Amino acid sequence: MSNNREKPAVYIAVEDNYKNSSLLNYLGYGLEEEGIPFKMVNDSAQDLYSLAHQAAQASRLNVSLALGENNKVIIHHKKLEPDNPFFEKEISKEFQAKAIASNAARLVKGIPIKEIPLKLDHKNKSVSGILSDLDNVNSDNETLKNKQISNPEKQLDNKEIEEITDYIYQKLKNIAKSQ
Amino acid sequence: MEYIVGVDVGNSTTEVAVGKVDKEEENIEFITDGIYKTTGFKGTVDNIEGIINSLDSALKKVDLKYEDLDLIRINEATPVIGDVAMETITETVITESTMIGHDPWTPGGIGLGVGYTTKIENIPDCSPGDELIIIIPGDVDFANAAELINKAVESGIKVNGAVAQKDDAVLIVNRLNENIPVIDEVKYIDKIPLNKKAAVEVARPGGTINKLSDPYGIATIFELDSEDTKHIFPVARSLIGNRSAVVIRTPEGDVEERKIPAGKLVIFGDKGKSEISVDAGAEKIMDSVEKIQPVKDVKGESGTNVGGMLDRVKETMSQVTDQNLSKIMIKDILAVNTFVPQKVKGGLAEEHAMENAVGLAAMVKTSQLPMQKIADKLQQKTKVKVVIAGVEANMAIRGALTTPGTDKPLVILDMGGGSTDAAMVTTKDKVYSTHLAGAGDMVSLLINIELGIDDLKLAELIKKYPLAKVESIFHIRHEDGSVKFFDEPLAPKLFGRVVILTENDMIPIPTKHSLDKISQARREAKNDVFVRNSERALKRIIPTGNIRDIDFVVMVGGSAIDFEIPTLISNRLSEYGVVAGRGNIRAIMGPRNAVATGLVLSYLDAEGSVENE
Repeated sequence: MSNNREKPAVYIAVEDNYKNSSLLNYLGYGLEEEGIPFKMVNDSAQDLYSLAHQAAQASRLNVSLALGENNKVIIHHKKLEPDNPFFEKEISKEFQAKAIASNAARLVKGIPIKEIPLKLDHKNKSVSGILSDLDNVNSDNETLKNKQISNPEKQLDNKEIEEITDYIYQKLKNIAKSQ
Repeated sequence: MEYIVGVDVGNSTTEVAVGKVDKEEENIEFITDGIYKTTGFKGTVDNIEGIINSLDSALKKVDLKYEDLDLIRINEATPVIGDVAMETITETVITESTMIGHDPWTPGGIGLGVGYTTKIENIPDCSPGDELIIIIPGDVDFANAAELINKAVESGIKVNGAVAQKDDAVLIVNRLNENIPVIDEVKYIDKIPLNKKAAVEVARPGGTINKLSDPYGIATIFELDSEDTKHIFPVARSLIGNRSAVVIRTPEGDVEERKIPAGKLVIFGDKGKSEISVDAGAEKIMDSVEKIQPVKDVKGESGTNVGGMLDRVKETMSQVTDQNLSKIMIKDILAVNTFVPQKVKGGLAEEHAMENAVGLAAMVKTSQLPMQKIADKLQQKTKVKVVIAGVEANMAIRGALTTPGTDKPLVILDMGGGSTDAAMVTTKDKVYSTHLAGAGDMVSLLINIELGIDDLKLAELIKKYPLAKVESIFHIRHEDGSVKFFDEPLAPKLFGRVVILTENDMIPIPTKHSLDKISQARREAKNDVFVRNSERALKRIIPTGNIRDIDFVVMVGGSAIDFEIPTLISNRLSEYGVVAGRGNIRAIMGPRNAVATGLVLSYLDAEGSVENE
């Protein structure tokens, strides 16, 4: 990282007690993998949104990342309102931080963003695969079972992921009950 | 004063027109119209629901009740059903090697590296001088991986490239002392054979690989003879245009080659028959069809996709009409060459290769549909007298002639979902008509398979609406390059994507295809089906067979509403000096409602001034 303030970079702002968080490292790795320069900024603000917004204003790439309370990560853009960032999510895993940071890079590059995975799965079992596994154990929730996932490889949006997560949770509860 | 209703049950929509008729004055005033999607197959009793809905929506607009109506005239629907299918005629099977040809967004390093595949944890077993391609599974951290590789290189082992499972290539390369090509996001990394000679190639950003996408490049690396080079050709072919690739030589071959049988078509005509293999391609098939005109029936080889599809169409028709299967004949087929992205057998990262395929639309015709049953049921439900009135083609012409600026001799092209119908009326009121396979559904099918989106509903939307690219969170760029800005930021899921612009929504297309590629596929599909069919139709119905002998072509039906199909046809037909345009029924309805309008208008002529052929 250079000290030259004029260098175009995605600015990363963090709340004080997150300065040594490993999540912060992974935000950096996400940007590095996409080949986008980044820079840590030492600002302070009332809340995480203002912090992210300030950083985005200062960035010559117009994009910032902020990390703070409850492991919340925000992607902000210079032209967006402070309380309406491009993306925000509370995360628990390092790989999620990396995925969000690579989306910040994609916002700079102008290419479609990736879905933030719920868990890191090398085997990459498709969603429908997980569902059919569960169905084999126990099947009684007809309405949800009939839910068609037409293309298991497609990128799901947040709502769909929530629905599927709920569904899997339901299934697991039923299985627990039946045992 | 009488209220007369015209009901047109089409393949996809059911349309209604209501006219107020003054018999003495011979005056007809149209007061309302309705439209609803056709319920069930056209010509079955299931249609009633659609008719009632369509009629209700029309009556609601003018506050009329069933009691006010005097007569319902329903069309003698042409018993035509179309269906579409696709047959792949090439298949990429990799037998002599394994390859990873996917395009991760961010591969690492630049150049070509050749060595033997070795798992990263097995590096300690290697000795100085070994040439390696390192395999890095997802549970190995990129920093550790880089450190291990650096140490190996220090001890004299030659690490020439690497393959990683996670999206880590750039991170690894940035931590290495020497630049090597690294490919990442390889899903099935545990399927990579170990201790085999492999080559990894990464091009500079914006470039494409040139060694592994060339058969002789691969032959040079793996020291192949001419026979082996033939076998690896499909590998090279499917890697063309990639920024990165891996090829691993596995001479024993895990994947067995299998030829898919391309079905045969037998076309029967009055004077004989013609047999043609589907893999001869669309042009040859269509040549055979034109040579054998008029077609009496078409059969497909059993056990193939073509055979299955033709059987399915016939079965459906036989169920609908309650006629013996042997009496159902296929009267026309339309074949179109296309490409299908198909998963490569033997690939490791879900690679797809573009395979040649032929899309087929078929059309069946029987003697008659059980329209009387529908009429009886409708009369029972509405308590209004229902009659079957007039042949569809004649009614459509009656309606089409209400388009301002038209005159006889005139040809109508009725472009629907299942079939393209054409009818011609001469100055002496003689009517000729023909029905061709291939229409809107065929276009959707072609878009669906060519773009590999595997979602017919989405393909349908791509067909219907223009595209745009979301370029920033505040603006989109249309197909013509113009830009539109928004006050509110656009949803993140739309960002960077090609979207379909419907009336009030933007639908992202979940593929990596560029806007140009999608719009080109869309236009080609429309050209292949509608422009080709309009020429075929005209050549068939014009008595002289010469398109120049007519003046006016009016396009009606659902596909005539499309934002570009009429222009594509109009452009082609203008080469023959023909005035072709979208119908504007009664100067207000656009290309819709032609048959329903014709049914009301013909009420005064006591079975039509136009006579059947």
